[in-house]
Amino acid sequence: MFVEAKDGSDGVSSMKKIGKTFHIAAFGYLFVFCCVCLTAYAQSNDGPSRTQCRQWDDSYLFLFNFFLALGLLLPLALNTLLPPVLGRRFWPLTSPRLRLVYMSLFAAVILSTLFVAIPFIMGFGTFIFAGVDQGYFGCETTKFGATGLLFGLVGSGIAAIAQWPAVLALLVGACAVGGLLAFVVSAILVNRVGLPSRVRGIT
Amino acid sequence: MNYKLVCIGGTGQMVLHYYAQLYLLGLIKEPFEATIVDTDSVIASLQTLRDFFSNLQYGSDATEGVQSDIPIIFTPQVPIPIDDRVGKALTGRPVDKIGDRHPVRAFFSEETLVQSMNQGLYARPALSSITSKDIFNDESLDHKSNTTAVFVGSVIGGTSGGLLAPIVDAAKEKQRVNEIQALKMRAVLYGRYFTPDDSIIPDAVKRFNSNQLLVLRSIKEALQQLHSYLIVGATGPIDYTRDPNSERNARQLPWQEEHEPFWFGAQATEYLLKENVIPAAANFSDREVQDDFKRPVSRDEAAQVLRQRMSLADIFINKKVVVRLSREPWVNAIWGNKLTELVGSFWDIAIAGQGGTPASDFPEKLQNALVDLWKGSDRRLGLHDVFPPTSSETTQPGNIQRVAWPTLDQSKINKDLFTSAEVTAKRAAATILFTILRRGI
Repeated sequence: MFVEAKDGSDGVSSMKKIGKTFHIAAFGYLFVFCCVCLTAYAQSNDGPSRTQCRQWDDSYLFLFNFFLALGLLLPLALNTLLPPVLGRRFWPLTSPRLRLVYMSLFAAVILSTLFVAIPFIMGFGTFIFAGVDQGYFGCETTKFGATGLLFGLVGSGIAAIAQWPAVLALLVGACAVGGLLAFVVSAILVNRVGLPSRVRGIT
Repeated sequence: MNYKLVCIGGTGQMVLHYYAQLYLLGLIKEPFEATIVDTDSVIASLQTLRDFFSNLQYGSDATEGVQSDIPIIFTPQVPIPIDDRVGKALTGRPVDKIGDRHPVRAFFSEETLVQSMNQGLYARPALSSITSKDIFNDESLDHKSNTTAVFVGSVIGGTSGGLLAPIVDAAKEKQRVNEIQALKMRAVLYGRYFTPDDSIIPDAVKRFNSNQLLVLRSIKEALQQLHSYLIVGATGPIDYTRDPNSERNARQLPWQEEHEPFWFGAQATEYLLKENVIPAAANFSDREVQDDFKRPVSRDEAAQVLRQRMSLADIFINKKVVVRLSREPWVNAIWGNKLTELVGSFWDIAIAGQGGTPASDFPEKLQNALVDLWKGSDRRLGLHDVFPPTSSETTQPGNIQRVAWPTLDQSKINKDLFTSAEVTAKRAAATILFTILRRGI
């Protein structure tokens, strides 16, 4: 609301849109949760070996770190590329602060869907998850010395796939931090090349 | 060439109300100087326009705006003693002390003498001629060389009926004394053009007819200096009714149809101001211009321009473009260099105006000034309300860049006009709105 008031955009409708998006996301994740339960139930008694689990977990963590970096950089990239190209067509892209909120939310939804929801819906072994076997779901209950998220800072010893709520939160958090980063870069650029840089005060 | 309008009485004001709108929308090309002469108050829309135009001044001359000349509206006070009754105003003594043989009784009825001056002049031309005589010397009624002047007023009412002829005559006299060259004087005269409300002026029709005859006759005999004139109404059926209350407020008055009196008067005024072909006729009656002249402004085109410019101005203010622009790293790509330079130049002036102190909140001040000028306040009509209500058009941000934004020439600035960030913001806001409305995309 604060950002919106500063920028003066049609904030009420924006907040409604955000609320609607949130509901859709909540239903989505409920669906994903059910899929997780079903997938776990469907695992056969012949579980994967500890070595296999470790290998798949590392692959999954590599992807996670990559997505985390994307979350940090995507709002910055979007804020750098979209406004100059499409700003003359779409009003939401002309609001320097509010558009960072839109872009961070957009990045969070896309990355979370790709990284968290897709494996539960489409399974592993394809697309970006080609290096992770479908049997990775069976590693949730296996002790194989998992590294944990953020190089062991979160959930050390637990398979990354079993920590999907934390994965989700970290991705969303990365997008939020990415938005802040984009804001800082934007503020620096405004002072360097924006209107204030042209104002010197005539005498 | 200079263009001067002298708008007398309520009718003259209403014509100027429409004329100024057409100018602001760029449908009338050249700026003008207008003087309003009325014993009644200036209507709200013209007060707003007068202040708005004065905020456009950038150079040392009052007509010098940013990159173009600007109009001026003068509203000299017509000194009438509104606290008195007519009898006291004319004789200097209470009505009951005026003797039966006092000369005033030869010219004014008992009913007139006891009337309070604050209720207007009740369509009595003789009264306005006498009580308002000081206005004839007002500097705003002076003319420059190479000027075409059009006098607009009705010949049926009290104010214009009594003041029109003396004002034209005073202009002619000043031209002679001050050796003014090439002054062309023309007039748009309103005869009976509306159905009067008998509750306001008893026996109005009778009085209007009498006034019309008297004033037209006196104009014919006294104003040989008029090059040409056009009469609105006077003959034929009358199907127009005025609404004094909405005229006084003039908030979002709808545009009239082509044939309706004030719209027609605005067209006639523009035609007479710019017309250069009609030769001077020796016979006074041959100087009358017929009402089938080519209309200078198409109403349909005007309505289309109005809708487009109002939408653009509305969105510029509601989306806070100036604030967005000031926080935008990709400012040239989205808003263009011209608008950025314009805002930046005014920001520079604001800093200089307050002795070099940074004015970091100048964009917000400018946005507030834009809102204030456009939407007005409880006491003052905003520029938006001067125009009629319109349906809005969708406008993309890119259209803002397509407006022909002016460039400030800082060598021409009158620094006395820009003494603080607030004042600079107000003048910058006026220039921005003027450019949007007048130049558009």
